[in-house]
Amino acid sequence: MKLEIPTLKAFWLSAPATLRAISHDFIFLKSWTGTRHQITKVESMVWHFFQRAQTIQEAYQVFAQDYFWTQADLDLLEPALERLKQLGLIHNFSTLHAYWRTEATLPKINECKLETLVIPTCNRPQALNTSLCAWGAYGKKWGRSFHFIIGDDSNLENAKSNRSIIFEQRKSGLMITYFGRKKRQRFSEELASRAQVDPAICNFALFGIEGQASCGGNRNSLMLSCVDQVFLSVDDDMIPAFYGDKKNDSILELKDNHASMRSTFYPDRESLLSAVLFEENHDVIKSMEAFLGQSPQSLSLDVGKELQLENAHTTTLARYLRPQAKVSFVMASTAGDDYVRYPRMMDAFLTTTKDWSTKVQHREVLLQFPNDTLMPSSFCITGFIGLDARKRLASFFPTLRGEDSLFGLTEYITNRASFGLNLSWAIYHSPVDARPSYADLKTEILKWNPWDEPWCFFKLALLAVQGHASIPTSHYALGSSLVHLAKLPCPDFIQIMEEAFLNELGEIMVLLDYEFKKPSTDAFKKECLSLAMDRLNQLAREPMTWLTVEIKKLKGAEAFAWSKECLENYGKLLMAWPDLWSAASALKKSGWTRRLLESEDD
Amino acid sequence: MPNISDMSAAVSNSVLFSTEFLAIPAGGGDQLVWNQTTGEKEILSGQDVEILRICQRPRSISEHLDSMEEDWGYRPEWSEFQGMWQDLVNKGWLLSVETFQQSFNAKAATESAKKPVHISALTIPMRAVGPALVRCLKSVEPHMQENGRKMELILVSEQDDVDAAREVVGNMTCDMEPRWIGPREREVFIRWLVKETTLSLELCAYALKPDVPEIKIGALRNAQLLECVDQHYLSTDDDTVWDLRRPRTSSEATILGGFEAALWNYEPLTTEALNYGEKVASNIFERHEAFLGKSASELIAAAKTLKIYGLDLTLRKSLNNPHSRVGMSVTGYRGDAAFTDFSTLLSFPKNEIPPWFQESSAYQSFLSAQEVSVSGAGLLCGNFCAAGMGMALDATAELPPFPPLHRNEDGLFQLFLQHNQQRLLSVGLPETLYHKRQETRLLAHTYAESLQADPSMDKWVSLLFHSYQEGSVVRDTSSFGIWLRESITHEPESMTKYLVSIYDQYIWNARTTLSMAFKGKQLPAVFRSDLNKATQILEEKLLNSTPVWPREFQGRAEPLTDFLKELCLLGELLEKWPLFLAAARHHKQVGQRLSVALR
Repeated sequence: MKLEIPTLKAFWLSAPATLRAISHDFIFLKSWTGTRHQITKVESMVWHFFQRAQTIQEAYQVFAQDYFWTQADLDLLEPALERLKQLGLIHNFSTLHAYWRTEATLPKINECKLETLVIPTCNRPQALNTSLCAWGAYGKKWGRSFHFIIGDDSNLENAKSNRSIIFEQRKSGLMITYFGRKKRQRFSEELASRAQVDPAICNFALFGIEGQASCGGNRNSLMLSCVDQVFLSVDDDMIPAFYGDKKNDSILELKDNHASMRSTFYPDRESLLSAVLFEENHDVIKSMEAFLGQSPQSLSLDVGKELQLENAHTTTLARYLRPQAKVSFVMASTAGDDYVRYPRMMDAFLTTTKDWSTKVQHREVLLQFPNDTLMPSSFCITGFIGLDARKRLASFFPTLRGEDSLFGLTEYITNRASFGLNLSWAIYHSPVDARPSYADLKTEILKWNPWDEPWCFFKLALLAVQGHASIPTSHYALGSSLVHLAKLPCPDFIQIMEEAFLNELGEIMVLLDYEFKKPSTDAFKKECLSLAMDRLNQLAREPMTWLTVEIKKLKGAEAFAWSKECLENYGKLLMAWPDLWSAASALKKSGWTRRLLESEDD
Repeated sequence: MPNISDMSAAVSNSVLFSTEFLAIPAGGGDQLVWNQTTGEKEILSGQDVEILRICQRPRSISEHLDSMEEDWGYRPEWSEFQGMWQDLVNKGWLLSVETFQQSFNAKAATESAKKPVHISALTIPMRAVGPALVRCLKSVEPHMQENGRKMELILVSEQDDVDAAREVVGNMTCDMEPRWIGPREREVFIRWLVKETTLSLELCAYALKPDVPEIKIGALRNAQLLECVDQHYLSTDDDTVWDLRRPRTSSEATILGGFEAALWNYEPLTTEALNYGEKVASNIFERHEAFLGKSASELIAAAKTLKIYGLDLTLRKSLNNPHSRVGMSVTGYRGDAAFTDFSTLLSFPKNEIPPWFQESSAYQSFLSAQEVSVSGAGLLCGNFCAAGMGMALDATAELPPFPPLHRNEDGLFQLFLQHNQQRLLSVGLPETLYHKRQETRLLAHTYAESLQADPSMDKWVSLLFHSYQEGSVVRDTSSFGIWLRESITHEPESMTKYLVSIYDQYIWNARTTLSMAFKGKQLPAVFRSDLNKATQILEEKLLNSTPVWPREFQGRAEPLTDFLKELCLLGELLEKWPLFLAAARHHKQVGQRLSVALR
């Protein structure tokens, strides 16, 4: 039997289905569309194998070497694949394409134009000035007239400087709206009143914790002022210089996560800049516009992207095949200062290259995806992002750091049809303030703590209550579960958080242990891995590691109570978020938001 | 410091069980193990952790060796294991029943005496006033007449037959204060709720008086719960006769366990159920009052023989919580089977196939049995008890609602209770009451029904609840309600697919149970043939691509829409039930009653 496949190297991926078998005497597959098929043992094994996109060559190897299949058994492999293909239970690029083509065409999403560019900033007038100059020049070069909205979270003195900068920049022809804390307060009051939400919760969403700067609160304010449109959000230290290759734009990889992101570290900025030559003849924002709001189906059929499935998992394909699937946000990765504040320990240990230790020693880095990469929205760490707010998005986490990580995770939990797209392009990240350098390798391992940052605590809480994986959880349900968790008596609360923490730690430990046992791992790396595993075992036994180092430092004896209170507020914010979004939309439609933004600067 | 040599002997002979734990990889094949009861953590070997896993169900070394022999085909040496087991006992990871009981004896000694609990109302929900009620009340009277007991009798009827009720209670000789809740009284209360709270008319009507032709017994039970809020009350069914008997199969032991069908003795009866078991002279009210309000320590310390069937973390927490009290006490029953899920009878421990599946004659008797006896294998103590025809409840606690469904509303109530109130313990008594229905069914019919008929609404709710619990650490009833309502309104298509998968899982589990329960066993040919037929039925269901919805909704114009709508309402009821309870308390405080006096 001749199999109609492009090449043996084509990737095959099983369609989402439920496989049931009892001792090989009764096996059936229920496909995601609801149809059921009784299948043979070989077919079930083939379906099972291709749950992770692989080639037939790989299947031959694995079945022969690991399953001890004879030649007669192997001869059954391709006919089994063919039957599964005919039943629509397995896909490759061509069949996926054909499947989408036969499906009822989805209403096409209007092309979008990223004309609004929001910049959240806090106490960095110099960075804001540089940013406005650079983005103004970028706009001129590519014929884009941005409407800048500056979300300012600065103290009084720096806010005054920022307003002067904006005043000057306006003279040079830039259209800039200033959205400072006073306007934000009026916005918060009006939103709370319209949405009938507790003003304290609305303030929490837009300002975070009282008395503290809040990047997430700033981003929430900007997003709620931009509802029903697409917009670009750029950190004040992101300079519009892009590294990448236009050739990579034609391929679109469908992935489960961001594991394919490559990182190359450099000892200093100079080395990085000499190795990374920025492309001057490409409007990256145009690439973002091509993706934003589109479905995987449309990107494949209408935009003509070549889809690559390698390593994608069937559960992710289930998300791609959802009729409502769409790209909610598009990001670029970065070249320059690493945006994480701690050494990339796991990246270092899991890399196969000899220079693994540079990831723990340097912080000048080129982060890059080999191709444009579409993945479920759970990964979102970026300072340069295009957002499609024509449909409701999740809220940013309004306290301390990690606001975008938790935005991605919440979007992932509450909207199974939401995707994030990472361009193969990297934007230049050049913060004005000096970042601390790292200590020697072993010292860094000995003080390593993956739960250093406060947002890790909230992430664990979200994961603990996220509910059943196979159906989406609404904002309200997710929020009420967080509130419930926060209100549990302390021993019960500690029990749940400890369990979530240990499970996460266990997953890290499995990866490190696997690396340790690999025959190819050299003695020095083994020594470091052993130190790292000891360190994790130490963390596992310390009390309440999940409360995170930073929260403990920040709040001292009050840390535990503060965390519970903050978690409860976060839960309440999530419960109120759909109402706040609707209210923001109504305010915008009525012209109230425009009048607020155009009113005299704070 | 315990004496190690004593403990060594204990290890050899004792049934041991592991403390509740979580193990994660610690590198090099070791595991970091967290004792979830004490909070301690320790790195143990993979083999140690395997023993802890095995001992999540209490067992002895010899049982462990038997099991290994069966699984692996050879019997390892005793000495290979004794050292490891001993070490785990020394470190506190494995406990003997005796050690466990001793720790509760110590707690019980320090607890202060509690005020005795007094049941102040007997409630009877019914379709209509009829001969069944007369018979039931007649059997209740002797229990009332002892010790000059006085209490309210609250009749809750689906029909507006207050005059008939007046006549029935008029003939009673005991000193009870009869009260009445009919459809009109519920309507008045619903109007009051809508006026005084933010609850909607639709929700209040769903909770207390759904506008549907068939009876929703759960709604009647909700009315009695709200009427008796802040009291202890006993609810019995009108088709129950208070003739307390104890089956010979029950033991004197106190048995700790969670929701385990195996804790209950299910016996198909070939003799008449009415006289099955030894008559017990106890007063039923006193029997329940003996347990209501008791702490875990009191119950465990008082046990002459303590058996531990299984302790999950939820139950351990309830037992260890110093504020935990028995909030529910239920009796068993004999008579009509009252259950339609035959798989219950297949839930027996490994190697303990009930006699009626072992011989042709026994199996034939089993099929022709009309009645069953369902009773606790001893005094059951846990945080869940199977449904009973008589249940005493502590309504001073925050109890969940009864789903306003046609059947199994009491089973679901108890399922919710287990997770809603971790401070509430339940006891299941080994004694049975007589359950006499007008129509009786052969068990064989029940068996066929359970396989052929599609699951009813109560089964779906139960499946959804269990599924929700697997996915969430927040497990109270209100959160389940929010999840249910929000999942449907947020993305109905996803929820629909999810419901289909839940149904599949249910049928698949039934198929697996049939396949696994009797694997490799010599069975009577006639039973084997029945099993094969049953397997075929289930496989056909599994291969059928047409979605199946609860049988109550089948035949309707839009079964799925109606099903989702009812699930939404149920979700909202579970979410907002605390408001109902608060309103009922306020209603009582301002001197109003849901019921009216019958005399």
